[in-house]
Amino acid sequence: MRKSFPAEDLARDGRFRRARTEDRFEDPRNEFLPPGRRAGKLTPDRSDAAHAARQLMHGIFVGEIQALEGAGRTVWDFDDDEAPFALKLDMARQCWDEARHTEMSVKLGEWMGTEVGEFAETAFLYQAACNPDPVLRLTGVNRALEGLAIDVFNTMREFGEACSDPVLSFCEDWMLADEVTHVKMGSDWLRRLTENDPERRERALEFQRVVDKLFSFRGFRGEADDSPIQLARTFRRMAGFGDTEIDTIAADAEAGSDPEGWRAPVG
Amino acid sequence: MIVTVDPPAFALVDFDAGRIAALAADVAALVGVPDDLAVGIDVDEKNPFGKAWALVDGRSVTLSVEGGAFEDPQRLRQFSEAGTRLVLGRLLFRVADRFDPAFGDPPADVDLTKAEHAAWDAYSLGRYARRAGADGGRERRRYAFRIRHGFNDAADRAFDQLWDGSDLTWVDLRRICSL
Repeated sequence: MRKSFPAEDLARDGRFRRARTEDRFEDPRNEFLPPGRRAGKLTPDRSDAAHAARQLMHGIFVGEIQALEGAGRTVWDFDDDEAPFALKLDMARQCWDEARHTEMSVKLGEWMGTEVGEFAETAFLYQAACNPDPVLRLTGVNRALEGLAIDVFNTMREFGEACSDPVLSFCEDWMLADEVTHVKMGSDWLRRLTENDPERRERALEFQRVVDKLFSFRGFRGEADDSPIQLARTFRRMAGFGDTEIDTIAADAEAGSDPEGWRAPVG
Repeated sequence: MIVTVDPPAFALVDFDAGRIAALAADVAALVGVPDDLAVGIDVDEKNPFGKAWALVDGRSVTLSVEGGAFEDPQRLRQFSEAGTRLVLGRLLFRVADRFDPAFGDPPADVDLTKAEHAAWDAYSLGRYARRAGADGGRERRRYAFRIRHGFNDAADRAFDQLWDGSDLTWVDLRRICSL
């Protein structure tokens, strides 16, 4: 079995439709949106709340598949001298969590009236899990990607609570707890693997910062009132993020926010 | 019935104005929109969002559509015929209701609450799905209805009454939803 599997070759059945991330960002309509025009924070007050929530839920579903694929690749791609067996055991455990999340997301999609493959899938989450250095990959997956998952799940949990949707709020709360564990795992392994290599740690954190900027989607994730996905500071602290680190993500999201508008590359 | 589409040609999305006009005429006939109406469809191709609404002024109707409403959710900037039929079916059933004296006298769209919009949309799409023999996205609409009316059995019963209903009046809609 080959190592370092490219995103283009990920297996999907006929229900799925792949979209290129670049096409979303280069959509010529972006430049015509009025300055500051964003869909807004995901709340029931939005007239398109149901559609936006369904689209985000589908994005979560394909994100869970890609997180499963990313963690699974780490178990296989590295020899024990590159990545300790205990790390790969943690990744195997994470695969089990992601598989469960995928099934939950399918059922939540059905609950919301969404079909598998209803929205296009971009592979940008998995692409963050393709770094050949296990430490950089770990930060890309377990701190950037799973950190985004914390923000998304908390947003969906709050949306479920605001709608009094008992199924959505309960399931998101449960999955959120797992994501905090995954990020904590990434924080711990980053510290252990780079204990005597500050230069490598710095490179890993820089890689994470680059990925985090991409995940902030030109203001799609951030602390602005109209950012659909809100940065979940409390849960990030629980997962081992320092306040300075969270401040940096927030500042990068704000700086990267495109006043000409954006289209969320989710799903 | 005269249907016009603006713009007549699209530059940013792969839409065809003639195709949209033909679909609108087809759906309007299916729905039973009066023949003497003039229907104008304004598509904002620059806008990837998906709002769509109707404005009735005398015997003319304007459907204002953000481009995303006619877009295929699987294919960026591509036209979705099935999705467009659903949007037109929903809007034109509401237009037909407004021209039906038996339906009553609902407030202007701008004065409707989100709960009223959700209820009328469910009633419109349920009828369209039956008449067209199409998948109207019943569970999608149930979820949208629940957000406005509650995640409980009473709301689900109200939704089913609306979706499966016919010959309802505006007063019936409000009564079913206890608005």
